[in-house]
This record gives sequence, structure tokens and C-alpha cells, in this order.
Amino acid sequence: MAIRVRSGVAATSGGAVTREQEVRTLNEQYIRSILTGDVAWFAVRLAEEFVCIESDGSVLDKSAFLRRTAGDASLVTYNLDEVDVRLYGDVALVRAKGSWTSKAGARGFSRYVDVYVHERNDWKVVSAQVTRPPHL
Amino acid sequence: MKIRFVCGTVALCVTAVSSVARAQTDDKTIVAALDTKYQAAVKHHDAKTMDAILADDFVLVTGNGSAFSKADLLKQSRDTTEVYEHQEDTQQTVRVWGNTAVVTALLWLKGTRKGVAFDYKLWFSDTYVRTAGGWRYAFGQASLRLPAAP
Repeated sequence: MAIRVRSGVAATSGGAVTREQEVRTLNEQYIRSILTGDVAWFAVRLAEEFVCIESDGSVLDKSAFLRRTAGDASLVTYNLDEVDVRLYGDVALVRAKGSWTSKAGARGFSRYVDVYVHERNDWKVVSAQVTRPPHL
Repeated sequence: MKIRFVCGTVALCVTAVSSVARAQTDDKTIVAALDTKYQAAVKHHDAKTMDAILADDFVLVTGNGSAFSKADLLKQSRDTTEVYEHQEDTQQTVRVWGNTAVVTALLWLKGTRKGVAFDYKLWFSDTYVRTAGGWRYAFGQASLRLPAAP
């Protein structure tokens, strides 16, 4: 099934798109934006009340997350190994595991959970937590 | 007549908005209390209470990337070689969106595990989902241990 991106959400070639597909596409965009340091994508997609708990325990609000993204494109690849999307009404929970390679050639994996809320006909990320074990 | 209709409509809207706000506050209070109750149940090896709070498809991801199911946690709870002196959170924040709530908090764990002492803090986010049987703890994820305070 071909998926194209339109106004930040996914649409199938047949026109119909499920909310799960929308969120899966946004999840892929999220990862791509981390790799490319795409602050503009996060500026649009993160809710103002966004909170992220990083692996080291640091707690970032939206502005801190944008600053970190602008200065920290340290990964060159990130492959999504497992993605589980659960929908609860207007809320979607994305749980994923991925493997990464850094610019320095180090490899590792991470697990994360992102919470998306559907408001005013659009999805926003309101919460994220990342676990990045120090060793493989 | 028209003015009276408009006033009536505005009054209805204000009532509806305040009802939603009140319901959200109630949900925050319920989830906050539930998460505190859950941490206490872990501390006291109260598997029965944990069983009632955890969703059947629950998953916990710890700071080292390991994933645990509900059955794993209940089994761990019955292992009394782990003794908690502290297993409480602070800086708890609860946010609610419809049928989903996210609790973020700083957890302090102190005690002994098979006779070996541990004492550390970590940040976690716990996701609760409203079910037909009430709020259930569906997903938890923890950070690495925070560096010890100097």
C-alpha cells in the first residue's frame, strides 16, 4: 500500500486512511526529523505542553527539546525494529524499539513511548520517554 | 426572547465547559491516587493490589531497555528477597486526555536486594487507560538511574 504525506498526515492512494496509519507515518517522520535535526517539524508537531523524559533522566519541555534537536543530530541511521500503535479514542500510544548507528560508528538500540493527541483535526505529540541502554 | 435564548445557550455552554474541567480534575485526582497506591503496593509486595491496577497487556520498559509483562512484575512482587525502605515518588504530574492519562514523576528506590543495598532515583512516565472497569496502568517506562547527589 502506497503512503504519501499530505499536510503532515498520511493518506492512502485510495483516499481513506486510518488513524493508526496517520500515527505510524508521523512516527516515521519523528525519527527522520531526529536524524536530520529538523527543528521545524518538531515545532509544528509537538504540543505546547510537550514533556520528554530522556534516557539519562533529564526532563525536557518543548523549547528545551527543540534546542537539543537543533544541536544534536548525532545519529546517522535509525531502524525501527518494532512499532506498536494503540489507539484510545483521540489518544494514540506509540511504543517502539529501534537500532541506531552514531556518526562515530557506535551502535545501540533504544525503546521509546510517544503519546499523540488528536485535537482540531490534527495530531500533536504531548509526551515522550526514551530509554537508551548504555551498552548493547 | 432572542436575548433570553442566547443567554440560555451561553449558560449551557459554560455549564458544559465547567463539567468537562471538573471531570478532568476528578480523573487527575483518581489517577494520581492510583499511581501512588501502585508504588505502595510494589513497596509492600502487595501482588493483589498490583494485579488489580495493572492492565492485562501491561508492559514496563526499564532504564536498561528490558521489557517486563504483568506476569513478570507479579512474580517479582512475590519475591521477598527484595526489601524496600523507600519506593515513593515526588514531583508527580498527571495529565489527562480523554481516556488516557500520563503520570510523570521522580521515583526514589532504597532498600536491599538479596542482601545488597541499593539507593537511587529515576524518572518515569506511566500511562493509564480508562477501561470499563476503571483506570488501569497500561505502560510504564523508566530512565536510567540518576547520578547520586554530591
